[in-house]
Amino acid sequence: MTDNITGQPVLPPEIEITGWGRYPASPTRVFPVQSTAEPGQILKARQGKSLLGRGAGRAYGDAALNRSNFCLDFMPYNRFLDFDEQTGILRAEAGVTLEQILETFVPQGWFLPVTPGTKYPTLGGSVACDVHGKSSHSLSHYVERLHMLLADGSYVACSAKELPDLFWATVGGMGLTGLILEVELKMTRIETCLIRYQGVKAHNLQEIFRLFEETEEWPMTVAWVDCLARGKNLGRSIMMRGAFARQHELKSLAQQSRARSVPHKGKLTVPFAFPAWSLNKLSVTAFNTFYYGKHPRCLDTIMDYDSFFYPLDSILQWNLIYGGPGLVQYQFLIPLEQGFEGVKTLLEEISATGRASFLAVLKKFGNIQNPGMISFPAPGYFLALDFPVGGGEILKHMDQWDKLVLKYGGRIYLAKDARMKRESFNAMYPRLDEWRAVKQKYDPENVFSSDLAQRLGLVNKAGG
Amino acid sequence: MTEQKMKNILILGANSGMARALARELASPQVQLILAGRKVAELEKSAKDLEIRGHGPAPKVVSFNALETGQHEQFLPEVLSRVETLDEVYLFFGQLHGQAEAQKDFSLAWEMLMTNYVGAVSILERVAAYMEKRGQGIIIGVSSVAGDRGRQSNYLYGSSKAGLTVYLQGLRNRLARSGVHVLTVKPGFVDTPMTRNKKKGLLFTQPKAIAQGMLKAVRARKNSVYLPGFWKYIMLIIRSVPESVFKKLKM
Ligand SMILES: Cc1cc2nc3c(=O)[nH]c(=O)nc-3n(C[C@H](O)[C@H](O)[C@H](O)COP(=O)(O)OP(=O)(O)OC[C@H]3O[C@@H](n4cnc5c(N)ncnc54)[C@H](O)[C@@H]3O)c2cc1C
Ligand SMILES: NC(=O)c1ccc[n+]([C@@H]2O[C@H](COP(=O)([O-])OP(=O)(O)OC[C@H]3O[C@@H](n4cnc5c(N)ncnc54)[C@H](OP(=O)(O)O)[C@@H]3O)[C@@H](O)[C@H]2O)c1
Repeated sequence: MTDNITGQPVLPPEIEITGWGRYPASPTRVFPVQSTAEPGQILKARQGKSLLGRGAGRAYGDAALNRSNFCLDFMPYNRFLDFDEQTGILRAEAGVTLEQILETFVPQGWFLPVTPGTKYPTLGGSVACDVHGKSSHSLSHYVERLHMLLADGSYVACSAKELPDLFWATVGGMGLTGLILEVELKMTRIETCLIRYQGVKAHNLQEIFRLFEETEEWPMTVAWVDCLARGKNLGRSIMMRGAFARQHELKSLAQQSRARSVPHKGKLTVPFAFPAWSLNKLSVTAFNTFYYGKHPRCLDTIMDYDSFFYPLDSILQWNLIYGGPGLVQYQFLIPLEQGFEGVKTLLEEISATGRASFLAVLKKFGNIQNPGMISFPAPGYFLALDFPVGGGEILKHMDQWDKLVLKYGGRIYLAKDARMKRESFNAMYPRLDEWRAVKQKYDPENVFSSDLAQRLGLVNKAGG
Repeated sequence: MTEQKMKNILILGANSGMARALARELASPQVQLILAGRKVAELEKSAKDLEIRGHGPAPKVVSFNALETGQHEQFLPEVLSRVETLDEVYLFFGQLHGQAEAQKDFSLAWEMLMTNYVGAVSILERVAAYMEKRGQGIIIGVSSVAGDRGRQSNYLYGSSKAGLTVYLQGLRNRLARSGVHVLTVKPGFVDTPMTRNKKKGLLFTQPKAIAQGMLKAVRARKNSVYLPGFWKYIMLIIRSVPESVFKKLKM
């Protein structure tokens, strides 16, 4: 960032950036990272400003914003550095996107071990959020090693074995422990990239919970819940479960010819911010078509992975559908034992506000412990709902919902959050103090910060 | 299936944002890339990436500095000791400093002129001689819209690119008879490290789109191309303003 001839700092302009929800916005100087030496140079010449790694900006809220300070944009830092066909371990720079990984490795019979519901995020950002998908582990389970730049300027590698404290504070650590430069990820072998899919209707919450229980043998599951349904229909939903199809399960030649091909479909682009009401209509229609349309009680088919994992990616910039002020996603987890009660209570509460007139996504995360200190995924039920920010009323409701989430021992996902209060957050993550100690150890001066960190008090001394 | 011949393609300034995008478009089993530039360690990483993405041969890496014109005579023989022939040469390297800074400190102006014009001419003269003798080949030079008309806000950079544009024009004329093709590329604003301190407005393009446009122009044997295409019209207007008026504009 210093000009190599003049020695003068060359600052990028301050621009307004947002997360995927387009709420809130923050003026930030964004440094594109393309070459290996650049993060270190920016760290040296930061002039007292705090730094934050930023990927594709697919986290919804303020996780990748750093008001009046610096962000390092890792998107251009996106090279594959090594791939071992024996072990399936891919080493790549943090800015490669999940889409780039799929385009290169699907034709060779490999898939991401875990993927969120969009393929546009970067690998670094996905590690920092410790993303989860439709399967029962979060991404960190498959991260072999991270290569990082720390606040003191040192370059270190960490993993579950080397500097495990740093590793488990970094996965799910929202970029606050240092810059992730490279990731070593264990990919998953697949026989075909097509999905054997089953969609099953559930008439209410009991039914969908029962389906989740008896669906354990399906490696990937998720449900769309109709939030308009009340009373005895509360929790009306469709369970969508899938598994990578085996070669012998492909019946037609057409299917066999697609067994290793990256689907390329036309994409729609939302051209401008829609009025907020259009969303409700759209998503309700989508659900109803599924539910009342041709969808039989149980649909069994083969589909491409894009349609299964990334249905929303076929509409580019769909976040504009939510209108001017943007959207907030409310995603919470309720531990398994309390799952049914918790989800039921919250669904009732949420639909009572009369605002949640559309879809929610429900999933069950199996009984697998996650050593990430402030990583979101843990055994339990996850429910995610999108809301237009509108006049801001909705944010007050969310504060109330937080209390219910807490009552059931649950938590909110930081990658989606833009508004939670510090007190709620402190009560949600039981290993927060452990995380704070690691932050203190590796970044005592809070070189790394974000709007989210400021809001939730992650860059203050313990408890502050 | 027809057996396709392997093409050897040299990229000068291969660490540039635009060059990286182009190399990704090119990487394939039928292409042997040779990456040349100052930062060899970066190029080694890019080479690995291109090998993995393109499923082709590992790109070769050679050190190259446009300013060290004394080394240029040895450069091509060194490349040709590693590949049999050179079929296409892309020139991407370039230097941009702020106009105001370069007016205050001539060493900055010097660096732009020496890199963008003298360095480019120095290496392309050698490439031209080689291709002329061989009677085939393609040279692709990246100039800029900034070279179309001198403006107070960037004429030091602009004139270096104007020099390159005219050089490429002459070279095209010289080589036309020997079957060597020369393409001049004039990008508008592109989102690369070169423009990192600029505000990115609507006129900015991603390097991938530029790379794809370049390949299309190469295939169509275009002589000169604005990328994206709409710059043709913008520059038409800018060039058509009479000098007596233009000199009074704040541009
Ligand atoms: C349509 C949609 C569906 C989604 N579905 C899911 C889902 O199913 N499951 C799920 O878990 N998430 C989901 N998400 C959230 C999303 O997957 C994650 O937030 C995303 O992976 C973040 O990656 P990113 O590159 O966009 O990072 P950003 O949003 O840019 O950043 C996210 C965080 O990572 C940090 N970060 C980024 N790069 C680096 C780096 N190089 N070094 C250090 N820190 C860094 C940032 O500081 C920030 O805290 C979804 C998002 C969308 C838009
Ligand atoms: N970006 C734009 O808006 C724009 C518009 C029109 C034209 N252009 C032209 O497009 C070309 C590509 O630029 P870019 O946008 O991709 O910018 P870039 O990423 O900054 O690339 C410029 C490259 O030139 C190299 N270089 C500079 N001096 C050199 C020297 N003495 N020897 C060898 N290499 C040298 C740099 O090498 P290092 O990596 O070693 O520093 C760098 O890789 C340039 O010629 C530029 O003038 C750019």
